[in-house]
Amino acid sequence: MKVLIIEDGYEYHELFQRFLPDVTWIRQGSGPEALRWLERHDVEAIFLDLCFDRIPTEALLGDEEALTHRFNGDPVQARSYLQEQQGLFVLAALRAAGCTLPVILALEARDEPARWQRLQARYAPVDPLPDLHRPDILRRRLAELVEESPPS
Amino acid sequence: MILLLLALCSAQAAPPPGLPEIAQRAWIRAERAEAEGDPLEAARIYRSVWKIQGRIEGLLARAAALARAGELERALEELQEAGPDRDARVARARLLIEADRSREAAKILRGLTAGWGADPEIAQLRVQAELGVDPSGAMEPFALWLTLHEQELFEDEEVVRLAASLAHAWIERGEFERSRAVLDAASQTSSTVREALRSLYDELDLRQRAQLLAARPSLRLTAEASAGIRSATEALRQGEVRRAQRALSALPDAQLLHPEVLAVRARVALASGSPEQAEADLRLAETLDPLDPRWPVERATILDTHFGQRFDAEVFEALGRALRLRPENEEWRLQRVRVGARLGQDQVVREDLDWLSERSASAEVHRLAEDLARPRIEPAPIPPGNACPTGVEPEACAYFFLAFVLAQRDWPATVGAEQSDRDRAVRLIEQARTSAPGWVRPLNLQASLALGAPRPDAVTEAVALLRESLRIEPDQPDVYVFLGRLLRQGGDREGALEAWTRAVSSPSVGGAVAHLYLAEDAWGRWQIVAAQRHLDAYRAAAPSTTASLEARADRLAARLSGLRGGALAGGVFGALGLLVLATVLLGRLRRRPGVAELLEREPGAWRELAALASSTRHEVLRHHLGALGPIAESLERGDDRPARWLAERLDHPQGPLHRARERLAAVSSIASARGYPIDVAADPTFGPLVRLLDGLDVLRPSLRRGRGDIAWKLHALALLLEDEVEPKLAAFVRSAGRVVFDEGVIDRAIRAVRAEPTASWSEHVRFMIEPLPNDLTLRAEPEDVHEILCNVLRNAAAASAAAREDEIRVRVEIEEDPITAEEQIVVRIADRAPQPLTTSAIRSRPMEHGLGLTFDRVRRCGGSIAVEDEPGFAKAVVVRLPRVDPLTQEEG
Repeated sequence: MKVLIIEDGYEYHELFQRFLPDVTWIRQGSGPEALRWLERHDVEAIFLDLCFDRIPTEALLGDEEALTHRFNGDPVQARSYLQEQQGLFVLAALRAAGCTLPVILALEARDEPARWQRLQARYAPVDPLPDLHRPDILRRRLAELVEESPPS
Repeated sequence: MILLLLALCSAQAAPPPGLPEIAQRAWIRAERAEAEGDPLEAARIYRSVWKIQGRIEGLLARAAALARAGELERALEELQEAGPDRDARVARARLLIEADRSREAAKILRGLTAGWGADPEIAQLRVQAELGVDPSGAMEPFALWLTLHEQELFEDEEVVRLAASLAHAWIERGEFERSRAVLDAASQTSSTVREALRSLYDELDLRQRAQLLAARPSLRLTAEASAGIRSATEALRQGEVRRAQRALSALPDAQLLHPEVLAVRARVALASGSPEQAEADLRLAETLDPLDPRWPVERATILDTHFGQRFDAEVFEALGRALRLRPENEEWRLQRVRVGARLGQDQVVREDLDWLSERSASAEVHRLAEDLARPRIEPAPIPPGNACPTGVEPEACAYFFLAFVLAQRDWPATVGAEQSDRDRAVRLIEQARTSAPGWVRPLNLQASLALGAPRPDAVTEAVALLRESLRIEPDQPDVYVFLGRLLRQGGDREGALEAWTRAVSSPSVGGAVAHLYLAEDAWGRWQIVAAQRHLDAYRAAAPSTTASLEARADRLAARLSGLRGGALAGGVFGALGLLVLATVLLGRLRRRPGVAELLEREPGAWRELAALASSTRHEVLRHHLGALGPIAESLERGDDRPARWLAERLDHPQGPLHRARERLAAVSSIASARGYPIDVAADPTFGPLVRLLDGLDVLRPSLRRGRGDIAWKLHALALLLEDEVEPKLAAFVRSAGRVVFDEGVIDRAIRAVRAEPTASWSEHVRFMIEPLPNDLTLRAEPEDVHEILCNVLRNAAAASAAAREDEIRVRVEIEEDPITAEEQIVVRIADRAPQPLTTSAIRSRPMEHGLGLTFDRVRRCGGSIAVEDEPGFAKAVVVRLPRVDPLTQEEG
C-alpha cells in the first residue's frame, strides 16, 4: 500500500516508516505541494496532519483576508486559525480539485463528535486519527478505508 | 480590491501578489491568451489557479474572461457557487450591472452591505445598481449610508463626487431635506479629517469648499449666507421650522461650519425636537470659535433645560468659560450660581453672589445667598464631565472627543475598509497629544486602543502609555486600577499590587475597586484577614459600582463568610469545628494547590494552560512517543534498533523530553505569575505527564544500549501514557468553562446594565429577545460572556437612547464554518441608532477603558465582534463565540 503523508514536520513520516515498514510512505510538506504532487502521482490513501505552523505563510491554503475580517481585523489570530486548522483547508482543496482518495485526518473524533459527523458528510471518505499508540490499528484502518472507497 | 477589479478589466494586468510561481506563470499564460483574443482559453487557465491554488482571484479572473467570451450565465453561476465570498459577490454584481441587470446586482449588494461594513467600493457599486433600479428614489439608502459611514466614504474620491452631484441634484429639484443629509455628513467630516480632504479633493469643486470649511473659520459670512441666516431666523420666529430648515439647507456648504450658521442650525434643531443635535452644533461652534461667549452659554442653556441636572458640571464649566470672556454679564453669573449651588461649588458660588450683591439686590440673589449659608446635608456628586479642561487647546479637545467616538464605534464598522476607525482614532489622539502634551485623557484612551489592537505586544504598549499618563498626572485612581489589571494579566503581580495600593488611598470609585482587587488577591493567597479587610473597605467606599464587580464582591464575601460560618458552627461542637477548620486550613496551606485551585481563582488562565496541554498532546505525545508499546515489543523480539532510535529522540535538544519539560515549566510560570504557585508534579492533570517524563529520563541510558530487560518498563510507561497522561490532558482541554447560552444569560446582562448607576436611558429602551435555538453551550468563562454582553448591550442602549430610538432586537443563531465545520454562536444586537458624532454619544460612554477590555475578552474566548447592517435596523453589533459540540456537552 502506498500512502501520502501531508505534514509540516517529519514526525509522522519517521514514526510510520519505522513501525509500519510494509507500507510505502511518501511525505509532502504543505497543501500546495501535495496538490501538485498528486497531479502526477498515484497513492491509495492520504494521512493528513491538522496543524501546519512550521511552513511559510504563503504555503498555507485558505482565505487569510476573509479570516482576518472574521477575527476583528486581527491578522495574527487569522493566521493562527489558518495554521491550526490547515489540514481541513487542505482537505477542502483536495476535494475541490476532484481528489476522492480516502483520508485519515489527525483530528480526534472523541473531542467533537457532532463536528466529525459534519466533516464526514462534507469530505467523505475521511476518518479521524486512530490510536497512535498502536500503529497496527492505523494500518488496518487505512486498509479498510481503501477497500471501502470507490475507485477514483 | 479596486486594483484587483481593474486587473480583471485589463488583459495586461500583472498577476495578483502572493501567488506561487507556478500560478504566476499560469496567470501570464492566461493573459496572453486573452490578448490573443481567446478568452475561453484564458478562462480555462484561470480555473487552474482557482482550483489548485485555492485562490479566489483565479475564479474572479475566470468569470471576467467567461463574460468577455459571451458566457455570462456560466460566469455568474460559477461565482455564485463560490458561496458567500465577498469578492465573488462583488464581481457578480459588477457583471450584472454591466449587463444592465441592476435589480439583481442591487439585491447582491444590499446583502453585501449587510455583511461587510463600510466599503467604498461596494457603496459605489450599490449606488450604480440602485440608480439602475429606481433613478428617482434610489439614493435614499445611499444617503443613509453616508450618514452612518461618512468618515470612510468621504475619504474616497469617487464617493465624494457622487455625494456632491447627488446633493446638487436634490437641491435643483428642491429636495433640500435630502440634500441636507449628505451635506451634513460632508460638513462633519470636513471639520475633522482636514488633511485627508486636502489631499483627496484636489481635482474637485468640493475640495475648495471643504478646505474652507476645514480651515479655522476666520471666514466671513457671505451675503448669501447672511441672507440665509436671516431667513431661517425669521422662519423660526414665526414657528415655521421646515422653512427654516430649507433656508439652511440652501446655504452654500462652504458656510455650513461657520459658527453663526451652526448656532442657527442648533436653534432649528432645537425647534424640531433634537436638543442633542443642537448641543453638538454649539459645541462645534465653540470649538471653532472659542472667543465668542455666546456659544457656551447657549449650549449650557440647552443642557440645563433639556437634559435635567445630569450635566450640571458641564453647564457650570461652560458658563465659567463664557464669564471669563465676558465677566460683567449678570444673567450668566446668576445662572452659574444656580448650577454651582447644586454641585456644591461653594467657593465659586460665594464669589459670584458677592459680585452680584454688589450690583443687584434682586430677591433671587438674596434667596440664593441664604441657601448657601444654610448647612447642606450632602452635596450632589459631580458627574463625569467631558468639557474641555482649562488650559487645553480646543483643537486638542476636538481631536480627542472625535477619537473617543471613533474608538467606541470601532466594533467594526470598518471591516473591509482600508482604514479602520481605530487607526483613525489613534491618529486623532496623536494630534490631540501634540496639541496638548500635558493632558492625560488622550494617553489613557490610546492605552485602551492599544489593548484592543491585534499585536502581541499590545499589553506592554498599553502599560507603558498608562505609566506615562500617571507620570504626568499621578492622581488617577481608575487608571491605577486599570494598570493593575493589565500588569496582573501580564503576570506582574507585584506591579499590580503596587498599582492597586496606590489607588486605594483615593476616596473614589477607583480606590474602592482597587480594594476589591486587593481583597481577591489576598483571598487567593489565603490571607483571610487581609481579604476581609479589603472587602469591607470596598463595601464602605463604593456601595454601588457595576453589576459584575458587585457579583465578584458577593462571591468573595460568600467564601469568607463560609470560612467564618465553619469556624462558628455548632454550639457545643464549636471548639471541635474550629479545630477541624484549622486542620483543613493548615492542610491546604501545607499542600501547594494544583491547576484546579488556580482556575477557581483565575479562570482566565484556562486558555493558556489548555493550549499548553493541547500542544503537548499534539507535538510531544503523538509525534514522538506514540510507539512506546511497539518499541517494547521489538526489544522483546531482540530488535534493539527502535529503542536506540527512541533514545536518539529523547537525547535531542528539541526532542520530546525537552519540549514536554518546557511546557510543564510554562504551566508553573503561568500559575506563579498569577500569584498562585502550584505543584505540577502533584497535580492530577499534569502530574502523570511528569511521572512519564521522569520514567523516560531514567530509561534513557538503557534505551541507548538497547537493553532488552527494560521492555516491561516501556510497556508500563506506554500504559501510563494511554491510560492516564493522554486522557487527563484531553479531558483538561475539553474542560473549559461552559456557559449554557439561553434567554436567562441575556436577561441577566440586561438587568445588570439597567441596574448600573449611569443607566439613565434604561427606562426608555426596550429589548426584544427573539426565541433562541436549542442546545447552545459556549466554551467560555461565564464572567467573560456576561461582561461582553453587558458592554455591547450598554453601547446599543446608550446610542439608542441618544437617538431617541427605543427598540433593540437581540437575535441568536448558529453559524457553521464552510471549511472547518466548526460552529459559532452568533449574537446579533440590532438597533436603529445611527452612529452619531455627537457629544451625547460620548457622555453615554464615560469609561474609555471598556472597549479594549471587551475586545480582549472576545479574543480570549476565541470569538470575534463586528458591526453589520441589519434589515429594518440601522446596524447590528455581532458577537461570535465558539459553540461546544452538542454531543460532548454533557461532559462539562
